[in-house]
Amino acid sequence: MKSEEENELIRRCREGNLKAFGELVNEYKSRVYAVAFRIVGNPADADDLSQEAFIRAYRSLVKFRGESSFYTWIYKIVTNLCLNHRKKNMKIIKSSFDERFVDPDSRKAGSNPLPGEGKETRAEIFKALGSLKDSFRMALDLVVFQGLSHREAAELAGCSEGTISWRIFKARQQLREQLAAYI
Amino acid sequence: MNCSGREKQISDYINGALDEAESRELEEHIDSCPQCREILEEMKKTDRLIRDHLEESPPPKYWSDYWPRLKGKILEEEGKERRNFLSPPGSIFTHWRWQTVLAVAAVLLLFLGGGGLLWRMAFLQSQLQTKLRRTNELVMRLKRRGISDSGYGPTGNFIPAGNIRKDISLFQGLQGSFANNMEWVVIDGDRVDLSLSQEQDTQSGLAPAPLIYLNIKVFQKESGREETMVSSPRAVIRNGRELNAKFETPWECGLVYRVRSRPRLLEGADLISLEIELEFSRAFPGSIQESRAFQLSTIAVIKAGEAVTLGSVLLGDEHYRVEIMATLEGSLPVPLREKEGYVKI
Repeated sequence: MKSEEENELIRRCREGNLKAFGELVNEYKSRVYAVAFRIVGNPADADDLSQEAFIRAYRSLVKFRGESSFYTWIYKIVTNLCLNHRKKNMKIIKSSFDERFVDPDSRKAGSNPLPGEGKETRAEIFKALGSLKDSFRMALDLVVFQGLSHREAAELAGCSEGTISWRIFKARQQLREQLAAYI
Repeated sequence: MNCSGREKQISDYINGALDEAESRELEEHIDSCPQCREILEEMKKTDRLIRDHLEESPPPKYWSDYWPRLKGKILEEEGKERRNFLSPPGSIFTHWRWQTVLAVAAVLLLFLGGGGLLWRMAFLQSQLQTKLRRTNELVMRLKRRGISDSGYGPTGNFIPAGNIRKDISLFQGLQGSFANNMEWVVIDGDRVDLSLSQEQDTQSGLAPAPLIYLNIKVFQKESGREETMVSSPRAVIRNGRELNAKFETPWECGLVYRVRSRPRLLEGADLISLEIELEFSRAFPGSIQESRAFQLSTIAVIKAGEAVTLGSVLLGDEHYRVEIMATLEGSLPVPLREKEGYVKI
């Protein structure tokens, strides 16, 4: 979406035009949902939190000063919501995650599934990502999964390009170690 | 560059952050270096593994329902908010309610307006009297601390605009300096509600404290070029309050900085003094630690929004240069100091 078009939509939203906000939501919903999912790791929470992020954005549109793009803004909102959610629910997430991602059949049989297969891998990946520092994870998410450049990611994270580059490198190093069995 | 420094470069290469010449040079190296080739492959596989397992694509039905559900929630919330005050707009009922409210308000204004205004003025006056009493108490406390009473003292007058007259001087005992025209006397640790003040009416009642951002920049010298690796670990400093901060670089060598600083606003605009103690320790593989401390004492002129380099130190092997910069947010010191809300006596 072009920035002029986006600004026009935001202006109409501020006037209380809900339809304009709907257009913004439709433009960004999949990206916002994907960010939430990569942090919280389950569809139900990703859905709740991404919707909550949009609601908060709508409520505080007056505070949006247009210094950054709408996506930058909503990205920060959803990331903060998800990180807070994760902190609050760390124990619950861990146990429910184990339940959901460990294949019940393999547990019944009392055997370990082969690395690289199915839900167990997903659980391990999530665990490895969860062990990264938030700033490292954010840099990785922005560049590797969202395809932003170092410059764009630095702008979003509020740090230098060198720092982004370093964080991704350290994140990759840590993930390679932790996921060695699956590579 | 040998292979030990290549790993980060390979990561940048995958991110598409190298320029053409750097990419070509790395590709040539990778062709002839099995170790780096393996690192590249492993990094790519890790990325792919995560992407394949953490990409979630809900069904199309989910996406088509997304906005209607969200819209429902927004409307429901708005409805609740309105019901708390009046019923939702647009209905005849609401129209009728508004008319009723306006009619009642008009009647009240007509019969009680004069009385209400008087009541409001009395209320304001009692608040001002409370404030004045508190001012006097604070001034008595100042006197008890042995600070001369020449140059300060509330007049006890208050004016219809709702402000206590601003002729109270405030002492900063440690420096012997004082500022005139303060709105309110504040003793260290005390919080004073400034919400009635016309000039400093903020939501919290306390205007924000002046902030100085102390930035530590670390430059890594490698292959003859300097690279900013860490920038702006920001620390908020209040005037005269000691800052103890610890910053850790994300480098393998694990440099840790402890910074102690006591910034002080000096008389005259945009001037601060800073005493900085910088201590760093560095962990080498095998748990060997090296620690050194540096001290900087400096006075700097800082203008709002500008960063000023206060000093720099070279670490032992001269691979790293640490630069300390201060950035000022807002303007200093007189306008903000008046708003400070924390003044050391």
